[in-house]
Amino acid sequence: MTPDAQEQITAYLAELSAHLEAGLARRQRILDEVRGHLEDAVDAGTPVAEALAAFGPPEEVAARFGPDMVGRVDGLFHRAYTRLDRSLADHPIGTACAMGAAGGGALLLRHLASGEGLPAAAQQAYALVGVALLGAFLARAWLVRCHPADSHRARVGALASAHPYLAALTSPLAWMGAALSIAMVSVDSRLPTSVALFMAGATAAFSWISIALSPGTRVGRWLLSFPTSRQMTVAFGPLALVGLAAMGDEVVWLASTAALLLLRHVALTAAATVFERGSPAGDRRARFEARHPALAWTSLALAAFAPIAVEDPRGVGAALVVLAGFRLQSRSDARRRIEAGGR
Amino acid sequence: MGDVSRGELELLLLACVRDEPAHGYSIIEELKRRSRGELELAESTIYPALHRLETDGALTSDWGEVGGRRRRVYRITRRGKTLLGERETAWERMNTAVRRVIGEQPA
Repeated sequence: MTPDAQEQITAYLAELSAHLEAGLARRQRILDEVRGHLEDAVDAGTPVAEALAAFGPPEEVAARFGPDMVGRVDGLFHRAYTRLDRSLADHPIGTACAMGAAGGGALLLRHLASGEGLPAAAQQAYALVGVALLGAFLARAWLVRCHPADSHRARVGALASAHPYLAALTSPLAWMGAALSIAMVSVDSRLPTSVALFMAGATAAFSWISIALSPGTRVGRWLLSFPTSRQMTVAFGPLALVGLAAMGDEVVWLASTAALLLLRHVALTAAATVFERGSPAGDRRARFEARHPALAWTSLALAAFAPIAVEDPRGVGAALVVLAGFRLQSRSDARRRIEAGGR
Repeated sequence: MGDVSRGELELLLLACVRDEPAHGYSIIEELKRRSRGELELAESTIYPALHRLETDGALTSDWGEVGGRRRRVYRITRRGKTLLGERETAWERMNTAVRRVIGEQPA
């Protein structure tokens, strides 16, 4: 098996993975089986292009496998997300304005319906959330546009493959979750105004920092030239600092959220580092996959979330952010496993 | 010749693993060998069919070492053997009926 053949098989599997509507375990099994089949065909003397053609176009093959229950739910979620993301990449300002108007209108209606005016603290928090979202949206649009390809799916695929963590950070869904939780917080009288403003301000600052880190800037290109695990640490550094600062604020729910975020970043860093070291080839890869920690990380995150949910249901907003991040992470993990198998 | 129905495909796959466990690629090769190249099935239809049969309990599968490589190996279950018998009988009946319709007397 030549490196070129491996590369072609890897590219084929990446495309197949993008079209499969399956949960992580089933997806990985399908990809492993197809890889085995293609390797056998090439080893038997079939030219790789012929073997790939005989197996069929990835989209058709994925359709033949059909969706499972996880894939069906995931597919619905993914299609809605893709539509939003495509709209954002093609018309960033228009989409941001439309979403801002919808969100702002809904909040205004809520205040009018309750017969209360808009509190000054809420006004400031909303303004900061607006700035945060605009930054996140522009960062996302910029990142996607930095990876030109024929289709939106391919552009996002290239982005997630090259910079999975920045892709996850600027995910509009994640930021909408963050904005929602901040908005909830800002209208809750139990929460000190200073904390609401701190959260909104930190979100705004971080979204604009993510623009500075994008490959469209010189600083971003320099930072992203580091190996992946370090790149992730660099990319998540500011957010981790926000978490630490929040812990210092000694507000129980805020400390819990920050701890959860920090835990997630540490877990992802460790997982990526272990993966990078443990997946060069052959048997080592198989051994690593056998104890692949994706499920463990997810369980850990959910377990960490449980006490927060019991203590304060507002943690649901944070959970949405975390779960959205994990979803993107699992997709990028699958892609990385495919690529590692090709090396 | 290449078009086979879903039921026929499952019959063929069960027949290929009746005697010994096999992995996907070797099942496809066995299909070609036994049909002397007459059955040119789309390769990607085989794996979804194998998965369906496994879900139905007709096959079980495990990862195993084949030629030094990790492969998903399928083996037939008791339920699969029963299903194979039923499908063979149904196929024989169909074959006989078709031959009668087209005017050829079955042997």
